[in-house]
Amino acid sequence: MPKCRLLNHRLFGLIAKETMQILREKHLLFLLLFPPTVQLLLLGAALDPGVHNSNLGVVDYDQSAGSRGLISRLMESKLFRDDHMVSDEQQLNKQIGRGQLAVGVVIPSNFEQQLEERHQAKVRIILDGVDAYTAGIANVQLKQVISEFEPLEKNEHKAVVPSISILYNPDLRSSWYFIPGVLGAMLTLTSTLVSSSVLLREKELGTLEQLLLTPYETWEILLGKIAPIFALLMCDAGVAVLTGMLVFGVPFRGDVGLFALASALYVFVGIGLGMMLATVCRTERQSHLVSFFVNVPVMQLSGAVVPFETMPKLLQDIGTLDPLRYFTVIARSLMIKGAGFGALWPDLLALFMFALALFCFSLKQFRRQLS
Amino acid sequence: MRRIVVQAAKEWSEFRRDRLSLALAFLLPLATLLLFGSGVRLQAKHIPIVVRDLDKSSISKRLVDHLESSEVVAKARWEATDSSTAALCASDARAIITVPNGFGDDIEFGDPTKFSAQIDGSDITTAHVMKAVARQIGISASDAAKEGKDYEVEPDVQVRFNPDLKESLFIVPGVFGIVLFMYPALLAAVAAARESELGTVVNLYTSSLSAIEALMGKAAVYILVGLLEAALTLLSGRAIFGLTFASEPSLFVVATVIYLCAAVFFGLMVGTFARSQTVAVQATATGGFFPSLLLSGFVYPIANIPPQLSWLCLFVPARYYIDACRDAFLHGTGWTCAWIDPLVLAVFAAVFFAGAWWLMRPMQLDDAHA
Repeated sequence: MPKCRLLNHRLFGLIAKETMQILREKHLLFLLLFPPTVQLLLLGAALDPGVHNSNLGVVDYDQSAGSRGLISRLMESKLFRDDHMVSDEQQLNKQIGRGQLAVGVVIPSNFEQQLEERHQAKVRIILDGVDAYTAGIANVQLKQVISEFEPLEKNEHKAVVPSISILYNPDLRSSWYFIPGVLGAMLTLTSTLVSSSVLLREKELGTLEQLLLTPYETWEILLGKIAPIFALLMCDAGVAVLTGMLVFGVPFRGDVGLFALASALYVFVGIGLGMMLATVCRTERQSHLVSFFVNVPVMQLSGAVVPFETMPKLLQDIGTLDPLRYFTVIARSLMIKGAGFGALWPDLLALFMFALALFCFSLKQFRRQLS
Repeated sequence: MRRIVVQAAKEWSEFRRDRLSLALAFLLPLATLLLFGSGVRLQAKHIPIVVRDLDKSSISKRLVDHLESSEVVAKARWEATDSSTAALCASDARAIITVPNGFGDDIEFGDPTKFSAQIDGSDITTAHVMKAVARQIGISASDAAKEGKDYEVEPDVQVRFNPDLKESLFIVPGVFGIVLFMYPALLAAVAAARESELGTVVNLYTSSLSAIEALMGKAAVYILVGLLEAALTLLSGRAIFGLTFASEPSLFVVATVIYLCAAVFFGLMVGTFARSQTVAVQATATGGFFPSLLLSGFVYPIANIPPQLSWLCLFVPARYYIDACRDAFLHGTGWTCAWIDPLVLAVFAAVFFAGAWWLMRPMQLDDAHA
């Protein structure tokens, strides 16, 4: 027993030293807490994969009740904020070329006549392909609105009506979708950056040798370094979740303890990644550059920022090696759907394996480099 | 002038000696280009769904076949249970489409009928797509039931500038905006912060070099590196994604040079302020990378950003550069429309330079003190 107490005592001293070292760096502390929150707010508010709020250019050569009906139906679809009446098609093309309008509709002069006589009419849609995102979505939705269009309130009831119910996020609020993923992305960035630079600083300044001369074991030194970073990052995660709930009204339907477990595992993965960078690089500059080499793909392939389903198959397969992917799945299902351990254990297990592998690798590397 | 060149030469040899950093300075833009250029697709495909056909009539079977033949959805593995909501939570299915008993009969007798679509709203992109799919099935089933519509309005869609709606043509000019801001700024910021971290900045202060000369010397190297990066990304954008100029490239060239200056001055400003490399990197990422990625219209339209935040977009240089790039590669209107972009970028460059100079100046020793 006394041996165990001694061990605790020793580690405690080391942890206290590291904590003091981090706390003394006001800049670092600030950057550990402030940017993640800003990033979360930005991402939560800025990522919105829908088409609304763009302007529709309309050339109405017909000026009939039918053409006005079609225009008002298009505006009711909530795809657009304003309709801009444009005098002729040439003018419309010019405005699209300048990027002032993304979508234009041209209604020919015989629109209503054709519709009454032949029950068939044509309209032209012009899309600005430069903004392929808006164009792609507007294309599908406009076609749908137009094919549903029937003039003069005739035949109002459709034969088949889908009853659509959307679960968990009925208003389809984009911030609810993005915030859990962004939380993970933010943890990755901060944890790799801080853990690699804390280790490399000591290495670069040569003070790591001094630490090695003390009776501490390698793993004790590493643990001492990790403990305060770990505590700070867990605070980060907590602050981020609270921000998401307060500012964006993101629900938290799952178990808090399970979420804490997942976050803890993921923070370990991030720290492990940072430690691995520290063993690969010799200077801080190198580690920062390499960290972008690792972090950008990790964020991109995880589905945290760009939805997973929209990636090509090959990249989706590569994405299975991305630890952030599992955390994103866990955070999303836990917060939004309220999923429990039963549904999430494979992802938790994957995170655990990642953390274990990264730690074993870095520990081994460190031992080899230091002895 | 000579002193600027000497300062630049010193900076360059320092940078060149760090092989790994040098390699990464050119590998990173390329990797980012590849990743974003091929990784961002705008339409979700093969969304896993569960179809429950309780009717099993020929009409419902046709409906299900129609659904399965589309590229958008893929059938999920799922054992039929009663509580369908639980299935959404437990399996990877994103929607459950249930065709009720008597669906086929209703259609044959011309009675109005329904089918239900339960969509997992926790994933909004697929939810939007599934909503559209469900409504589309409704329309085609109605048409089938009525054997032709009463009225038909046929849309004739023309897509200008990018007729196939190729994602790469949209994404790659945006990637230029991110890559050419982020990496030059990062290198410059780390270089400036390193100087104060290692204490060598004191040598600069005591030398007769003025703040402007020191800044220009450092900036020259990283602007040059940035130009090489620009050439590299441009050539690979052409080779890999088939990007070609839509108009004569003079506007693009001018905008690129000014944009790189803005990026490097931004990096120097941040690096001078930060005093430690870690802080410099965090600050460049928060102030440079994230705004360029999110507030520039790179993927999701700027119009979607809520008004409380959209004013921030005005202060993101990447926004103007991406605008200029899209003009050069797709719209092709040239100076007549996009002349404002290089101008705004020049203002950014001037402001960042002034900021870096202002931060560096107080640390300079006055002649009176010397």
